Amino acid sequence: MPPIRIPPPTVNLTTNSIFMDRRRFLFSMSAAIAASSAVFGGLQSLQAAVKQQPATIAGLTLAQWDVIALIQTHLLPSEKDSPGAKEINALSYFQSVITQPRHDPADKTFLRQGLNEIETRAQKKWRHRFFTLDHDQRENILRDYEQTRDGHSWLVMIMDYLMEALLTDPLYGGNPNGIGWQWLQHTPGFPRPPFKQPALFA
Amino acid sequence: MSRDFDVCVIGSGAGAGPIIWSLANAGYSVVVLEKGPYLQTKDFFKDERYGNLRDGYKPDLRDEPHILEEEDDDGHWRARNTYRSGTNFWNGNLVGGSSNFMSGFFHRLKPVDFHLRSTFGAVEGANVVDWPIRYDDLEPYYTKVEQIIGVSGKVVKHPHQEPRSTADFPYPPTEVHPVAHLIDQASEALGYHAIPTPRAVLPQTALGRQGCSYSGYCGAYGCATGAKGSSRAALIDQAVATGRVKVRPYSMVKKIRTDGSGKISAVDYFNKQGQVKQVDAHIYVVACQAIETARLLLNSKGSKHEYGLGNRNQQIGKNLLFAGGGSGSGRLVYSKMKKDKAESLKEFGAFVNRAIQDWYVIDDPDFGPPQKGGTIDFVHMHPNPVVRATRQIYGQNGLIWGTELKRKLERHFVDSRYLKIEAFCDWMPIDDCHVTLDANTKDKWNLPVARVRTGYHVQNLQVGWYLASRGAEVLKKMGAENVISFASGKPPTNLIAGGCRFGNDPAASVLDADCRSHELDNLFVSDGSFMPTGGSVPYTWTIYANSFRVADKIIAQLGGKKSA
Repeated sequence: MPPIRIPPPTVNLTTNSIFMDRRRFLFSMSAAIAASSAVFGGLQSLQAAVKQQPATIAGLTLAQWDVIALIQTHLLPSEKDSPGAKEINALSYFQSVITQPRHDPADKTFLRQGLNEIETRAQKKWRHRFFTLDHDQRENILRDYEQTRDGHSWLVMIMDYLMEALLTDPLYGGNPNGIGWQWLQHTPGFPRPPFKQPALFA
Repeated sequence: MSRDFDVCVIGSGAGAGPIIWSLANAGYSVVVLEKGPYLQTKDFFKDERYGNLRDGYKPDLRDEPHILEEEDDDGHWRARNTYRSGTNFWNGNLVGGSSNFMSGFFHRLKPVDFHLRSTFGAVEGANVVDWPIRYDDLEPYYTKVEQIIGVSGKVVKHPHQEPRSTADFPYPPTEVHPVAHLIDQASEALGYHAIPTPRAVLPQTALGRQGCSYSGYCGAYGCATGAKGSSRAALIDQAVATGRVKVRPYSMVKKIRTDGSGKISAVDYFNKQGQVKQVDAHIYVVACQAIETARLLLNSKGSKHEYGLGNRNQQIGKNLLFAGGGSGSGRLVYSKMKKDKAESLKEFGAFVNRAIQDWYVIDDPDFGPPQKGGTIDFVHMHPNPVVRATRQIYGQNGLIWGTELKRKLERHFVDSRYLKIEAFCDWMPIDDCHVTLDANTKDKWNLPVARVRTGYHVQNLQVGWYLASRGAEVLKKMGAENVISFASGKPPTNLIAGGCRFGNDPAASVLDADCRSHELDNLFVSDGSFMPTGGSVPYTWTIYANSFRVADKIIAQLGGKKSA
């Protein structure tokens, strides 16, 4: 099997492009900076940076984001030859998605409700915080929660964004250097997007 | 009387492009009102998240929803806002419309499609009628599409090959994937006729456009080379170059205004800044795709048009069509085949380009009396990786995660080539498939939104099952595993027609045989709305061909081609 060819991001900064008015140029530059930070910074440094911020993200406390990261790792664990949630920058990817201005605010509420429910179940069943449970205990809590309609939907939401972090263009902060594409021997299309495309119908 | 333009075209997709191109080349001035942006070929990238996961080329459904009516198990019609239903009837709001994102599987209708009622008789519960024109009327325009938009393929003999005025396609087939040869072998062994699927994709530089780059991401993506014959790349860009066409992007038409005598006086539209503007013309052409065309006409009430523009007999919106049919898939497992075969099947980028039309008319005593069948297309599973990966999280006993999910992802992506079948049959026109205006919901322009009822006829399912199971036979013969086939009554939202059917009887149709309103001689509808029955193929080639035909009618009405 030949190695997967990952075409480089397209360089397309022609001044007559519809995408390149000033507002959009600034937007694309900030997006590029954000993307490169996520790629090169790694999950730990990002988490550290997040912890230094007094403000919460999407209304969740930093401790709650730690739980999200733990659940992501549980659902997509790291292995010697294949990336897991940590290697694909799943947490920062998810945070960037859910804080998009047009993202459905109901998702944030649903996210918090799900976390609270998981925490309640952990306390009730194991008398410990979810974060301190071992793997089998976490599995038990998540499988129980999956049996409820909300729990199923909540886990699907987390997993959908995990798959996005694994396989969308690295431009968006996940899949650094195409690590997900390489693992699954997936050939991305070309030309790849040079920057996050602007909203056409804002 | 002085008018701003000779022709005003509302919409810019496959139903509009041939009108715009033809009128401009005949010397007439044209204004195009398109509610989305005017992107160019260089603006398209292979970005699954932007274009597919986030629907970047479609409006936000919170701003511009539809109301979907579906029948529940108890026979009640349930209405839901599409923002909540997961259904999206928008197919691309930009110059060129949804033709920017088509796969370009181009099949002509066949002579039988023009007289289904006469050939097979009435179908109980369906409103099947003959067309007011015949295949011979449209054949020259199918040929015109091949030459001007660029259709690649190869004519081969098969039982349902339609008559042609030229021997073959003007462009040879695009490159095919090695899996196509497996389809050929399996079909031959079964006694079926696999044919090269004609494509609206240029295999080489021609017509001022680049050839295909075989990126592997074609359908659902804007073409980054111009090889795909979208209405914009193949027609509108060239029409604009004549200097006689003015495209006004981000122009959402509010209504077509009529005066006290009932004649059209102007078109009111919102520009990008939300200001209401007006434009007038001698001829008005509506081509907004079937649902939005019906909605605009219904929203264009006037003192002489109390039910909507040209809707005295209240036919607008009725007999909406989708593409009926079935589907299926099979998995070719690399680890279970010889290495060289596996390596060849791992090739990425070339097309499958195979179809079977042996059952375009089904003459099978076990299935019943002879009746209309359809087309089976073979295609790669769409390469979108996130969509494919997300499907893997579902298992028979619940969600799959952890290392079990990772092994499943590896089997899916690394050890398999999936092949799909798409079976197209006629979507029976019925009373319970239609467009009306919703009484309560308005879009961001404060205009009533379309309410779409999507009832289906059981014959859609029966024929869809028949075709899909035949396609599945081929997959099994190829050695595929996990072969499934099925039919669904759920409408595919990317293939929409009907709602303004043409016909000779004004009481039972909206348009005359030239696609001109029965009530207004300067109002034409040129998208797929005109179709009283849809045929058993994707609609786009027929929409293009008919639009070229209508363009000739408009040119004649305006006095013929202007001399240079």
